[in-house]
Amino acid sequence: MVRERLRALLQSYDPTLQQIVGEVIELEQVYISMSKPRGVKQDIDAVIEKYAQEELKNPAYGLED
Amino acid sequence: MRLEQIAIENFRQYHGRQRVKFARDTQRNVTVIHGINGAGKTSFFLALNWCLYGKSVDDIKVIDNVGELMSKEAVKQAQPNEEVRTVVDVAFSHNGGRYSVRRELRGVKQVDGTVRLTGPDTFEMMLTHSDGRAKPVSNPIGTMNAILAANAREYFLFDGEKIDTFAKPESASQVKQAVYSVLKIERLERAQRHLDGLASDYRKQLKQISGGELRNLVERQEAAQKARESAEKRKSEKAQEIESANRKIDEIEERLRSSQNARSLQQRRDELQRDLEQRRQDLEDLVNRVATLASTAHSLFAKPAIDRALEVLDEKRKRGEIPSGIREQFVKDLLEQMTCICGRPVTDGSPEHSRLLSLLQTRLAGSTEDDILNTNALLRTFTFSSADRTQEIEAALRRRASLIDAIKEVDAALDDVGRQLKDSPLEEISKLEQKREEYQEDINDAMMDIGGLSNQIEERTRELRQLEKDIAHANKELNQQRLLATKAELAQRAADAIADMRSIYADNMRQQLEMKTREIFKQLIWKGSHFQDVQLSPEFHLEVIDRYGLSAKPELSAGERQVLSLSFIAAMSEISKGDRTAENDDEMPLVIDTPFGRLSSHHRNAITTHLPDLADQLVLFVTDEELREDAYENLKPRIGAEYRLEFERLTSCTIIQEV
Repeated sequence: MVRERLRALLQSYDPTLQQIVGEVIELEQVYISMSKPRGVKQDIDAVIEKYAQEELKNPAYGLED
Repeated sequence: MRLEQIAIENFRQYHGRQRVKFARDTQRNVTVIHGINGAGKTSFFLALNWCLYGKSVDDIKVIDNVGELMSKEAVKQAQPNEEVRTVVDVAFSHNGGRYSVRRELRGVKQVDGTVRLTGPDTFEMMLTHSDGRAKPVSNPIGTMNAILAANAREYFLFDGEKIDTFAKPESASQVKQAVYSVLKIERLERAQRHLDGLASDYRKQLKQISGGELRNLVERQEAAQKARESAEKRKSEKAQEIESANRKIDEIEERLRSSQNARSLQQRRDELQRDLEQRRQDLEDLVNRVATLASTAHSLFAKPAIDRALEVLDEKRKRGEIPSGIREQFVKDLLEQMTCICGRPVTDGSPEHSRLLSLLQTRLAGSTEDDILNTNALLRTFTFSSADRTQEIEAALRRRASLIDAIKEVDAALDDVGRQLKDSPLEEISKLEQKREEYQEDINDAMMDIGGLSNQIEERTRELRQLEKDIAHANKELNQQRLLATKAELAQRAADAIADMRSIYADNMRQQLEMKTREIFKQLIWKGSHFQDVQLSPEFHLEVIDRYGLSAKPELSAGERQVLSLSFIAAMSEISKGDRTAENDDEMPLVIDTPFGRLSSHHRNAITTHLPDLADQLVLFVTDEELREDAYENLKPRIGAEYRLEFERLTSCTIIQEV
């Protein structure tokens, strides 16, 4: 139920955002037992960077307004 | 996560290796482990927790104040210096994969009977896929957290006698913590916080590297380009002016050459101009030659130092402090052959022999000797070449002075020709020469202008080259800016999306949890008609409302509090379940130590009737008193595995017996 509900809520966002949110919350789950998780920000940065690079390669980037 | 089996080896009172297979059947999903007080139920429960999480995971304590984990019997039976090990293996399935985890502690028995641990415990995880391939999991702790997080563990593996926490009046923070952990709201909260933080970091970085520099550089490039084009255009115009003036001069000179009265002077001028041109060419060649000589004449400045170095080397050689130019090997060969340098034989103790020995005594290390000999030879070539170079430069400078004088003389002679033509009594010739002089002045002015313009062009070209580099650099920064801006946008949008989702999701889950807890509580509590409602407020206060519409929580008995807590946990377990597909399976076992200790028979009967339906897998550690008569009969059709813990008084060890 938890997973389905989250998936349903995510559906309203664009696919890139769905992917980012999905990957980030999976990462957070791995670090969940640490009160100050070292390394999670770098890992999230890598996720964001990956999708940002893809966005910039997309020829339609910047055309939307 | 569905538990398959556990193997316990030398853990507390479990001596040797013993195994329990858990019930996994959907109908018979209950495993009962019987044991009287002190038989080892809690140790078994600890073994399961220790294997999955160790004593602590990062900041979360799992096992605390339980004494030594290593079996005392195993230690007793080991010889001094013999290795003793404690191992717990657990196998479970999750999301279509089969996991095997092992935690192991090793130590060496000391002479005094104690054990010196050889290191901290180790944790390994293997994953067997559906095709039968098994491979180690690279991040076992992270993977375990992803399957069942350490902070959510206590809601699935817990001591039944201590679970009334959620039912106490001051329990809101514990309830909230449980909901956040089990229903995975905490990870959303953290994800939002971290994404917000990253978006802010990206914006800060963006601010640092942006500032319209590229636009400014491009504007400067355009300006420099225009300035250079304008200078080039003006230079070209000046060159045309010179060409035109030269043509006019050629025409005038032609007319003077054809004039009877001016011909000889013009011919003289033609001759002088050719001479001037040749000498100017000679002067230019000479200047270039001097420049080349000067560029390689640095040794001239070192000459005094080189001369002094050679003097020092000569003095030292005379004093015998450095080799005389005779190689050490050569002297050794002479001594071996007992031959003088001149070829005559040498006898032992002769003056020649003594001299050869003394040469050998003044020897230096091979490489140092080589360095000194080579340096000496090199310095001598410097002195020769510098003397030649000096003479050549001096001769070139003398020639330059004479050429300059000759040019001055030719210039003066040309001036004289021009003056004579200008002073001609024939007005036509005088005017022609005057006009020629004006054209020549125009050419001189234009040449000056061209010089200035050439400097401007060179300067602009240098500026443009630098600007190109700066623009390339700024472009790189611009790409970085675009990337940072995109990252900031994505991170912020993701953080905002999670924030929106989280509030909706948390409220949804709270409502579901409230409904499910109410439903289960009503099933389990025997005073169902007295308790009208169970509520979970947005502030996570778990409340029981009695038939009068008033809060009944402060008046709940210890058993009722336990039932309320169990209802809440069972509700969380139910809600956290997945969609039951093989790939996506969030089922979790409920492992309860002493679940019915405080409960009266009414509650025991209700729980044993309903709990197997509320959990995917149920593992109960019970005393005989806890589970008897009706309660046991209720549970019996659902029991798939049953064990008894037998405590042996002679060895103080527990044996696990299958019932």
